[in-house]
Amino acid sequence: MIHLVNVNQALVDWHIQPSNGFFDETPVLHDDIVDAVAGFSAYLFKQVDSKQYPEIVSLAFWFRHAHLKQVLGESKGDFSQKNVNRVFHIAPANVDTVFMYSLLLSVLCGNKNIVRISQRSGDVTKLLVAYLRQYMKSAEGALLASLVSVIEYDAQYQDITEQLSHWCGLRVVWGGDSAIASISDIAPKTPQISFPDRYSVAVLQLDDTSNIVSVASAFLADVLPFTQQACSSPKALYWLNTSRIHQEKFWHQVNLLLASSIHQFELSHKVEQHVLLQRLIGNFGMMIIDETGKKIANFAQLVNVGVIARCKVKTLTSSVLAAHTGFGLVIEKDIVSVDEIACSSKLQTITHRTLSDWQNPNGQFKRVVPIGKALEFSPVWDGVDLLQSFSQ
Amino acid sequence: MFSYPPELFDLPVYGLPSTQKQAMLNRVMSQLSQHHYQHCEAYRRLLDSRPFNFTSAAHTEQFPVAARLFKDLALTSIQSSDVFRQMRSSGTSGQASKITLDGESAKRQSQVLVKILQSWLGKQRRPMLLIDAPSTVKKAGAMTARAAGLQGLSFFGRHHCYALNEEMELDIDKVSDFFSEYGKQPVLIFGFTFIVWQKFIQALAQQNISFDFADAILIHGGGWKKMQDQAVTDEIFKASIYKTLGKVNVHDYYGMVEQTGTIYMQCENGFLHTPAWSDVLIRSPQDLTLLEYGEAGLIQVNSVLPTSYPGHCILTEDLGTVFGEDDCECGRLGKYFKVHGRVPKAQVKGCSDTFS
Repeated sequence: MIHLVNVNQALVDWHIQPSNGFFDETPVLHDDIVDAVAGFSAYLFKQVDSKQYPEIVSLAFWFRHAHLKQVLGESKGDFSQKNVNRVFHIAPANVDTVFMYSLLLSVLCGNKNIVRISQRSGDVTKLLVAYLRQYMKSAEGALLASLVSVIEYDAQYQDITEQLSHWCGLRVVWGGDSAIASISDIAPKTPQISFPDRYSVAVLQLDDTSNIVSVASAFLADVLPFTQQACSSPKALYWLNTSRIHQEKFWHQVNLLLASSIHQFELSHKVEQHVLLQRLIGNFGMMIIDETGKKIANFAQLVNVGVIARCKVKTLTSSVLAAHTGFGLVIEKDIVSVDEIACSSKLQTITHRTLSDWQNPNGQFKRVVPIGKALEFSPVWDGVDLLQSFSQ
Repeated sequence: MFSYPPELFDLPVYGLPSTQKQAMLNRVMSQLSQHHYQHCEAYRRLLDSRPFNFTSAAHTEQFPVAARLFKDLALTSIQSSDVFRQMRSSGTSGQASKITLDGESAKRQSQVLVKILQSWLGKQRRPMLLIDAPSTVKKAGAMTARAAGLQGLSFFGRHHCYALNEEMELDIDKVSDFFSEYGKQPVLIFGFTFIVWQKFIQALAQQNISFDFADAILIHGGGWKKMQDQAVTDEIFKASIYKTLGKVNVHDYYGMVEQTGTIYMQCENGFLHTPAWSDVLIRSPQDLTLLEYGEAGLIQVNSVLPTSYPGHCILTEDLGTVFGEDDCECGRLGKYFKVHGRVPKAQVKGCSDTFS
């Protein structure tokens, strides 16, 4: 028996209790696990419609049987099941689906997993946990009950984090710099992979041959989820050798598409956009380019595009991008070469659609994907090969 | 040093007609923008970000600094050696706003506050009941908005009596003594709206105690958020006060630590009023364009007072409506408006706020 029993049960809420099988560390057949995970994907497809929960549908799509076979086939991970690892996942408060990717990849490696979810978790997190609990009751899903448990507790109970850290052989921290710093101090010798603060950007190039509707639609698929607050949500839009006319056509389309888009933006986000713009200017001296065409210039402000907003700048630094908190403000910058992108160790994803083949910029970044795929999960995340880490 | 037009602070509080007031504000506010542009680096960055001719712009077109910027930017126009006092918001969540005052600014704030309140209270100091604990003012460190309010208002009273004990509970003996001593003469009661409601009015009601003041004025402020959470409206609040305390003139006020001094008092008709030295603008939350009278939007407050920090034009996160200027039925000149409450805070998602 592991010393999970020491966790003060009054302070925690087990959404999925460790079952008896959870304490049995006999390896499970890899193919059975793949079937159980793919079964969960099929189960999710039946539960939700993509209009209401596009992020859950994306998750289900990712874990479908065919894609799992492909991902596992390409992986350098060792799934031969010589030993079972114990993995403790600390999920982010509100990029609701990411913990499930992390968890299921670890499950595919045959590990025992405890996931800590935040008390401030969003509805999607709670819904996913409820679906998982339900699925575990089916014959197909029963196997997962021996591999997964989900706990919720207040972060101030550091001794619980400490006990769970002592239980595990690997701690996975999905969170920003401050969260990682505070968790790293608890049971500091615990092997850990962590995902610190990152920013992401988009690069677009348009001309008369471009399908602007499809580009605008893909851009919104990257910007709208999680109200632009995920690490992979583009905060800036670089216009690569693109005329003002095509830029305006693009924003016109964005505005039209927003009218029928599903999003979680509210009045408060609009206020955040104004405040954020001022914060970035006040802290970093960002210079705004006025493209309103007004004769009498006004004080610096954003250009409204439905629930989101944009603002073109003369210079754009990695510090500005790192300080950008999302909420639907897109900072635009005209560039003549991709080498002008604000690369840094904090640049995670570059999403792009250019007229000729994509050329990587000279500088640091973690990932390049076509526009519309910013939030698509990859088993190598932020430079960390999760399957390899989970199967070591 | 910033120099004001002579006799600016001798103007009648609610007697300056629109044309004269707007012309005065245009002149003084653009001078204040120039002053802060020269003395505050962060403010200069805000103005330089998209150059515009702020020296000739109307006061309604000066850069409206978001109130939240005082939380994470060093927005000060004085040397640290000249700091006389640092004020901070009583912000319930996250960082507090930091407002730096030199001696002159602190004096000017008090002077204007006195002018405004005297026009409601008269020059005679009244026996005063403060609905708070005596220790609130005495706490060390930077001054909270609540302490500043209590201290500022104390000036208008005498025979001060704190109605709550150190545990913020009703001290019924002290209140009863105050009533038997002064209940038949003009008195002043002051406190923060929610504290007055919860710790005083409701506490009295629970103990089935009521008083019958002959001539009291209750001034209260600090916001309606917690009141709205409990579905207490201005009408319910006032009705409970009449029932519990007798003949009381109740005046809400609206003000903020970023512009201490120029407070907005509620008249007999339920409208908040701008004094001569400040103005209220309503901007669209969408694109910050100025809205017409009668339309609800974000409240911007412009005040001639701030010289030690660039807070002469502040964009709040409160929603309100201006109903007109110079034509309120109460007879006071200036704009009159209502505050509807704060824009709800956006939920912070994502990485940097994970482990909580």
